[in-house]
Amino acid sequence: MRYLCLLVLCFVLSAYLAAQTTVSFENFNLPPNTFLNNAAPNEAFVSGPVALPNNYDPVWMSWTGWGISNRTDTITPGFLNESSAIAGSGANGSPTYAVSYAFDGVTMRLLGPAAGSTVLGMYVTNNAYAYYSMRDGDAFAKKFGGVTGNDPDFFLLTIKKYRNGVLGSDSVNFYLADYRSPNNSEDYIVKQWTYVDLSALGEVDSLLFTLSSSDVGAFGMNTPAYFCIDEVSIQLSVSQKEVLPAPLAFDLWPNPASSQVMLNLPSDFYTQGVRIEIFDALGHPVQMSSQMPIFVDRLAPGLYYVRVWAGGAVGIRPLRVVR
Amino acid sequence: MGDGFPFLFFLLTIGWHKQQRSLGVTWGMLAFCSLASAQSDSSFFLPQVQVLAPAARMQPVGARVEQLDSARLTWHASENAAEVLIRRSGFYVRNYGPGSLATTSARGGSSAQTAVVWNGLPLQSPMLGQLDFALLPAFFSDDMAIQYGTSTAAWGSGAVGGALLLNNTSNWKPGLSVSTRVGMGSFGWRQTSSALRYGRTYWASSTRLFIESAQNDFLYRPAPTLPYQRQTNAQLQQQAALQEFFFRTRPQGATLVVRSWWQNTFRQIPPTITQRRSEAEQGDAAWRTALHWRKPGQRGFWEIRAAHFEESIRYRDPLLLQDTRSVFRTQMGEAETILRVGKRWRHQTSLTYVQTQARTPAYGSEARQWRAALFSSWMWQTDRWRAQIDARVEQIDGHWAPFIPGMGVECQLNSHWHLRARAARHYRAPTLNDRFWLPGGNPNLRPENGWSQEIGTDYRKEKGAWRYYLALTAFQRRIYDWILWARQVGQPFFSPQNIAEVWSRGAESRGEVQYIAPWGLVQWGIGYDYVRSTHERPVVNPRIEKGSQLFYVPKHRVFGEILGQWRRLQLIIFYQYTGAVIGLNERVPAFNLTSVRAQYVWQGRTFQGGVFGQIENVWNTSYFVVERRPMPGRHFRVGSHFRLQ
Repeated sequence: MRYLCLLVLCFVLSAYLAAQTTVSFENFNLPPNTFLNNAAPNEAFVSGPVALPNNYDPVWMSWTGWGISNRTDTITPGFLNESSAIAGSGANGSPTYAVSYAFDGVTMRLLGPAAGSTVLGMYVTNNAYAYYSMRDGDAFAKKFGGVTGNDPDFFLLTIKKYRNGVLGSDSVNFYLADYRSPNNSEDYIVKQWTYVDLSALGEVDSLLFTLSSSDVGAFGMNTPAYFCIDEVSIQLSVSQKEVLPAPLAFDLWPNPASSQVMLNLPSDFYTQGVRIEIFDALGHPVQMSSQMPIFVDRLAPGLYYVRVWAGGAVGIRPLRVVR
Repeated sequence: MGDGFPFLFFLLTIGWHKQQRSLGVTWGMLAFCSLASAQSDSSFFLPQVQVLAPAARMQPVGARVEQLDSARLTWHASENAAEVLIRRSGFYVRNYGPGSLATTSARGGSSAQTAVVWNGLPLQSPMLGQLDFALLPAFFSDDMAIQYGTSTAAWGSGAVGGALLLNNTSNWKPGLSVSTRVGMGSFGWRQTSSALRYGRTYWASSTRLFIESAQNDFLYRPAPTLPYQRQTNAQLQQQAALQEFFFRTRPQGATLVVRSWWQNTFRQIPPTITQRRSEAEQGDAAWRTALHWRKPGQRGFWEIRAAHFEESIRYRDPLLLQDTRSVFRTQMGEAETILRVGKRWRHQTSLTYVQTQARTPAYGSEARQWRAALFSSWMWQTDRWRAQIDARVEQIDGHWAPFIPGMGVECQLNSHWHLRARAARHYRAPTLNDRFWLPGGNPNLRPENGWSQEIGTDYRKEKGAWRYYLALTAFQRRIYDWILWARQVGQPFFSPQNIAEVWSRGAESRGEVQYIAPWGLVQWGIGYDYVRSTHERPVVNPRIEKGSQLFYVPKHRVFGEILGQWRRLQLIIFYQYTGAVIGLNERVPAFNLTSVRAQYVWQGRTFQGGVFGQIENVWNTSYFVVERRPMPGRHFRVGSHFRLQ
């Protein structure tokens, strides 16, 4: 019991005492050459205070939103290589990074008390599919510059913020490819991880990423709507460091569990919405959800900790998964 | 278009000596099942002697049909069906380049709304609902008929905008004949085709072989200000064989025909002008076997058709690490009768069953489909009037397809003027890809459906050595529940939806003047089609505004020929104007094309031979049919043929 109290204290303090954190997506511990495009049963991939929404369709075996990858194929063009960053690894030599399919725009959420923090910036690059499509063209999309090499093509990532449910008017633009210069020697397609400063957006609850291209046809943008991010730097807000949330009492049952777990919460908390996070014994987040039951059938047997946010209160309980 | 040398080419095709007997059989069949087709079809001047295969359906009364008999097809023996349609029809052919994919738009329809029928058997892929016309060598057809407008009642799903009917004749002439045709031309084009025919009184055999190859590494200009570039990865290799066996119990008795058509095509898929390179390639293989049994009776014909088609498409792209193979098999059975009822009535009934199995990695498991259809047609005829009512009921996988009625009427006002009108319902069932493709396939799609109407008139006159022909047709067609593939919000893939409504209307005109002289003839023919095919409902994705013209449907198309014959030398000039079309990314400008063909033919008692030379794109026009897909400039073909009998 003493260890549990200590761990809980570590969780709480680590969440609120660190003024700045960097999210590098290494917590997924991917085997080599892996692309994780299914966050089920969760709705998002969670890494530290960042949640990357994912929508995997098991019928069509397709995904939108975000995926987590450590693939390193930088030479294969085409949609079969949608999961590799053209840089060949994560930013700063790290293995893991996030890939987004953003035809309709995607968001990145800051979790719980991290909401309202300032995202200082992140590293961004193209994925291999989009890079080669822009460089060489394909059956659907043009090579940038067009037949003359002079077309003012561009592939633009626009980042805006949500704060208190309102979409901000300010935005940060980052050109993943830019052929607009009259001097063709200045044309470029981003191939390395490039730091994008987002501090100008200020405090954010979530970020909205949208892509646009100069290559647009009747079916919308022809340029493959992908980009990659890594090393997200977040400056946690002062108020979150000073104000601790109220404790939340709840029970888990069954516990131990093999496939699913229910929460026993005071009824008024349900109406305010809950967020459920599961951490492994080392404190790594492994799962996130906002619905019950909580499916744990994909977790390896062992000890986990379930953190529940509801109504501004937070509580944590141990959970043992058995088979 | 008209043909000034039918007699000469007829000789090349079936020989002179036993012409009357052969024709007697052919005309005997024609006289019954085609029922005065010379009146109803809108073909330009019919040749004096023609060979037409017996039709699998009665001629649609009130519709426009242009016949390309064996004599006319001789001009195109080294071409494929797409090239024939470009020169001879109002069908707009969406051609991706020489040897590359070629699909059609008939009367403003989509490529899946043109039916292709081989001796009464639909050839469209059940997976795609369409056929690549570049894969149909004209050499394998003895006659073609281009049927404009809706004929869903006769041919089933997909015969909405028009139909191309490919037919083979039953040639019972005894004896042996051998013919060979060789050609070579620009961009490494080589072609050899041979035919061997042997006939006895009660059986005959016909073998046709076809080999074609081309590098298609032509020079093109991606933009007017840029230097020429050489097309890459555009190689074509095609081999095909058609074997026919004919059996009969007696000269006017029942006949049994067995046909087997094997074809293998390898094509590289060239890059677009905005694509640095392509290593994609496609292999199309087909083996079609058909059996036709026909028994003439006192009052008509009985016929049974059975067929097994096995086709595959393999697509490889080493650059993209793609290698997929799609296979489909189709089995068809059809029983049919055409009967004369009284003096004025003709009646046709056919019962058709088709089943298909298709496999492709995108289906997950094998997709299956069956169809059963009953077609019935009644025709009433007097010296002046003809009227027809037909109908089709069909079940697809246990679900009723829309009931398809049709009706037509024709009137011969006098010896010159002929009026016609037709109205029919049509539908196109969702293809297997529409239903089963993963991801995106939509099992809840409804068939495209609607009505079409057309009216027209033909004028023919002969005066001395002059012949005149004029045909005018106006049509309109509504298609509801048009199926469009598009990406839906929140989906990374395309899926089909019944989201469009299309109204097609237009006018078609054909004119021809012919002067026949003792030394030969001169002939001028022209066709002009005006087609408005507009979306009647706005669509968000793809971005379509109400009233906008369909993608890749030109409003204006002109085509024609000038033909001259002096003794054994013939010269023909084909020309075409295709108006601008709206592409998926950009507007494709209008273009004019002219080609010239000259040939010299001679003949002995048992030998015929000839040489030809052809210049395509005489004015070296730089043009595109499909955006970003370049077409070749001026190029040449030469060749020769001989026939030994």
